[in-house]
Amino acid sequence: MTKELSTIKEKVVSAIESGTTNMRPKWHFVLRGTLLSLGLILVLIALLYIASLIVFTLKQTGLIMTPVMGGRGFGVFLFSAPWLLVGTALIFVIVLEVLARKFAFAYKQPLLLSLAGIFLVAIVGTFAISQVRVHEFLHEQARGGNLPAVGPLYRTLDSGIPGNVIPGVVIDITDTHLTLERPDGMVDTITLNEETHFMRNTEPGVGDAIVVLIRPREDESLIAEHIRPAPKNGFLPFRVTDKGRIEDIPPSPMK
Amino acid sequence: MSTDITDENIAKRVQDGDAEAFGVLMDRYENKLTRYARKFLAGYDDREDALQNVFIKAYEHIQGYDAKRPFSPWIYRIAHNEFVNVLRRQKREPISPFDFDTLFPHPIAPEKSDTESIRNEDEETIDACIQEIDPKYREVLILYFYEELDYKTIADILHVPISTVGVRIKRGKEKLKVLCEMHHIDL
Repeated sequence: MTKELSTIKEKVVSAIESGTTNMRPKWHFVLRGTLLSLGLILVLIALLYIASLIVFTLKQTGLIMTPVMGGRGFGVFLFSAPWLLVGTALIFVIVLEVLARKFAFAYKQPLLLSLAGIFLVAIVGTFAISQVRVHEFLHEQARGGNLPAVGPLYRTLDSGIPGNVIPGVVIDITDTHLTLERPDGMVDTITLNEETHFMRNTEPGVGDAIVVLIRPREDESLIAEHIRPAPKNGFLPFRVTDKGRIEDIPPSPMK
Repeated sequence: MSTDITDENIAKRVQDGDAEAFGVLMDRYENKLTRYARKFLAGYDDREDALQNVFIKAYEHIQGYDAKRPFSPWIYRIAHNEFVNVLRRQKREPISPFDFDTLFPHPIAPEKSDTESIRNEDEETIDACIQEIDPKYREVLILYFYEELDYKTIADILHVPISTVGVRIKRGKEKLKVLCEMHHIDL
């Protein structure tokens, strides 16, 4: 064993002395640590962007209200939710976890705890981004044609979930019909009947932002199945009409 | 060089350009890492090369070592990576990239001073038993019982939670006990 040891030591010392083995400079490790931290931050930002975009998509299309619109509403939600974005967000969570586990603060924790930490950061970050309304700003830019890269993505959200969900502002309402202006400016006339469910049996008034779960018929008329008020900071705040911003229209109290 | 000087201070000297001081670090860790390699990689041909690579990599990466932290886990970490690479290259024992032991939080089993009970046994027989255990359990048993490192240091070396070390040692001991019983040894 002693002979083996001295041989190893001799080989290593010889490699050092001959210059075959060189000490890497400190900046190499500083740079590597910096790049790793930067990568971690960039992936976190990307995750927060996508997670908040998921929430924005759900609000903008009105899908966020469909799980409380009965069995069919829940089915529409499952079928139409932005699963591609959800899948992308999960991939970013995994990448973030892999990067984070290079740091002691993460690898010292069980995997589930560090994953829970990432989800918590994503939820809090998404909430914060919702509060500063980043996606609303980007959406407005997209409507103005100022976002060539992601503009189409935002603009597709304005038409709701075709054939199933229509978000919009009530511009007229009668006992049998509801006229709704969608975020993309299109106007739909929706039939109300005795099977239409209103939240707490209250009907919306003109100027209210609502989400309607519809059932299309063969004659292309639209029947309202469920009607719910749109979520706060929902889908319309930046749409400009000849009356001004939709959000400036005072909502009527629910009757 | 005085034995009073800590590993961390010697490593600092190496970082400051005193390449000869690295020889002192090698003297201090050769025996430990050779024992670690001999037990963890028993039956593998590349042991000596792996050990040599550990010291070469330690020298190459020494500027990345934070001299405010203990030196021992740092060099053991390099050895762990190098030895696991040997296992991966030779593909004789499966090394899973994912370990379910790190998934959940586990209650930390108390550290016991039962090192001697294992070391007092016939070392060759114990070594033979340990070689039959899954590498992830074998490694913690070696680090704990032979290298006499505590849970925290082992956790720092393996980059796993401390509770995972406790679980692996507990399970490793159970497996070792079963194997030793087959060799008619009481642990």
